[in-house]
Amino acid sequence: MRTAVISVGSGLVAAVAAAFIALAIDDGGTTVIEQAAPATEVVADSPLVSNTLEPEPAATEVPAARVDDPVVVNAFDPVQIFQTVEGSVVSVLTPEGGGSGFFIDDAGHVITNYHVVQGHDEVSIVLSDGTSVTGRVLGFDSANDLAVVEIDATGMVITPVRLGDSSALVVGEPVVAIGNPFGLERTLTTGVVSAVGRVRPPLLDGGRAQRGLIQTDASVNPGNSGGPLINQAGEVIGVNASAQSPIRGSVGVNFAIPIALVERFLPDLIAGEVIQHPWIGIAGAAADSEAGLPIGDVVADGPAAQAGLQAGDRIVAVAGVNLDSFDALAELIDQRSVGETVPFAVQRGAERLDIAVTLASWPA
Amino acid sequence: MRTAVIALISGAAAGIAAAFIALAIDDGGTTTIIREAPPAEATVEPASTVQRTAEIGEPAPAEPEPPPAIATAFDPAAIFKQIGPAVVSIETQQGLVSGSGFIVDGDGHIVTNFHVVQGSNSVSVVLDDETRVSGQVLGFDRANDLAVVAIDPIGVELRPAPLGDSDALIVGDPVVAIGNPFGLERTLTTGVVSALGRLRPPLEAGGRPQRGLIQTDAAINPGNSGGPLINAAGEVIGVNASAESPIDGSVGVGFAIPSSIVQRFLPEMIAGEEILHPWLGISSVESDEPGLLIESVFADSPADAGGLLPGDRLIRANGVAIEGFEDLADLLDDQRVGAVVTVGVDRQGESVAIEITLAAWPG
Repeated sequence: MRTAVISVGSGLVAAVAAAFIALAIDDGGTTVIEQAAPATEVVADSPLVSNTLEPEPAATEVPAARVDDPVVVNAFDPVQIFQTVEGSVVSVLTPEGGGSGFFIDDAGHVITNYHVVQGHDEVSIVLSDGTSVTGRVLGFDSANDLAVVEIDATGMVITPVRLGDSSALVVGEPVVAIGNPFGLERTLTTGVVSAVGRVRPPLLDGGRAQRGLIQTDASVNPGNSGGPLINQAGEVIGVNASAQSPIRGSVGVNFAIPIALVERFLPDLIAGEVIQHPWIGIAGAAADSEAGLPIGDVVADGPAAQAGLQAGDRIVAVAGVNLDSFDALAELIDQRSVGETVPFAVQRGAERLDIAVTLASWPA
Repeated sequence: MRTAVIALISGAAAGIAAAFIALAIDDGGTTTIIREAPPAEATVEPASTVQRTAEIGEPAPAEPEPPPAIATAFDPAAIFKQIGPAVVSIETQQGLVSGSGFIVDGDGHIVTNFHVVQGSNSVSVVLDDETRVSGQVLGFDRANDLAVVAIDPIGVELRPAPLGDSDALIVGDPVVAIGNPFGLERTLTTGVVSALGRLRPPLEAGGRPQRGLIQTDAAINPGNSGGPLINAAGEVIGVNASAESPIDGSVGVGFAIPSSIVQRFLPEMIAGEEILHPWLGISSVESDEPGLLIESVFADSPADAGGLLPGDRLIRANGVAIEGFEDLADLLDDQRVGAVVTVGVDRQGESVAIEITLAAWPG
């Protein structure tokens, strides 16, 4: 049996669809999934889009209860959620196919997946009223599979989505996806959070693994890419992006990028930047009973190699923090910036070494 | 397009997987036209099944009792908190997830599917806290696709899952599945009971068909095998086991073994026994006329030894009128291997009584 990681771009044009289907096909029969990491992406806690941007439309039965308001338990009402959010969802079309997206502010900024707009400066944005406008691709984050597209919002009244707290999700809570599976615009599907903190293989060979993903059994199919995953309060908590499936269709094992990642990088994305992620260039060896994280391999000319780290070294602490897993190391590095220097305490045989590693960006 | 019954093991070892994944791949276009599912195996040898409440000579059990007036709220998040810790990953090779299982008692007994542990005496069990312990395969029930694995309970915190009453299920009941689809440990998926009492082809050619299965639209994928299907009360009412699908993945038609079968055979499986099911050795067809028309009699089978012939019309068994395949299957199901069953047949107009000593299903 082979399993494939499919990205959820719409296969409108099959021939070119391959361009945005990151097919990490594992023909070994088994997808060895790394241990899920706790959803501890530390997020810049400054959502650009305040909840007040959207006048509570018909603020009726469904109060916008936040997770930090445990008294109010919302009934799960997909009808209400759809009517509230549907107008914020768009189709993102390219000559090859396309995906979905949603307005994150009233200035015309659309969040979508990088793989939906990959290779394009301009795309077509189809609004909820059927109007098609030109969108300009601003910044993107290929590792996290995020991009921002801008439309000319002059004279438009745009209702952006409200953002929820993806770090507060619990397994089992109900969710809604809205998107354009197989080009069927503004399709609503429902499910639950199946798991949080999933680690998935990188979209590109040798790239950075995706971390902290939300898993859902809501049907997410090619074309749903870039569309919102929404909690029962009607708040967007994820960006639907990929799936685990033997086919180009949902088998109920789908993944969304937590909205916390969007919030963290949104200012840079809107500013037109290509988001860089810090890289040290090591591969971990299998854990054993000894103290420290054993380095299995050091990428030639990578930051670790240049600093003098070697395969076989055991990482005891990084920046003064004792680490118990490579996941923890990845999370720690993820909070740093490219160009920053991070002290590593390593054990090499009987010797204890302090080595400063200057972080580079992930190679493209 | 062909459809296939796939057993839901993740493809840990492709070589072994091939043994129980009957795969037919549709190489057609993007639109999958689902054909009508094949009718239940009317011409297959009646299977003995497990219906705990069925007693010989009694009419079929009445309709399941209606649910309590106040329906239990369906709260998958609460169910996950409660039952999630009972769910384990089972690896037949180190590091390769073969399927799922769940802890059923404080003594370290884990229920899973037979096909998950088939061919292994010991397996690796990964617990909720990611502890990896060694498990020993105790008893199993090949026909019902069940097995019990034992781990050493000493020094391990066990949070067993309670078994519920699968006989009380009704179509539409919300359910939760927890398992390791594609190795994604402790994945929760939700759905409803789509149907009850499903008859499915045997796991192995010539084997005993599976009866009484729960059908669900909760996503059940390779790796979910052996994991629990859970009702709104947080009780395990099924063991996820297989699916009807043109692909090696869920299209919303999954099957679970009812917990009543688990409960019936659990003591023997814990005792290390292989569960054997009584076998008659005929294939039959239902027709408009009374009884079951015997189409063929397997050589050297109990039916053969007792003198049943093709063309005989089986009218009664142990004094019970046999009007269809299910009647005979239910009756056999309550018998033990070695028991003697008296059948009354119509042989070209003549009434004949024949005693048959039941053997175990071959295989």
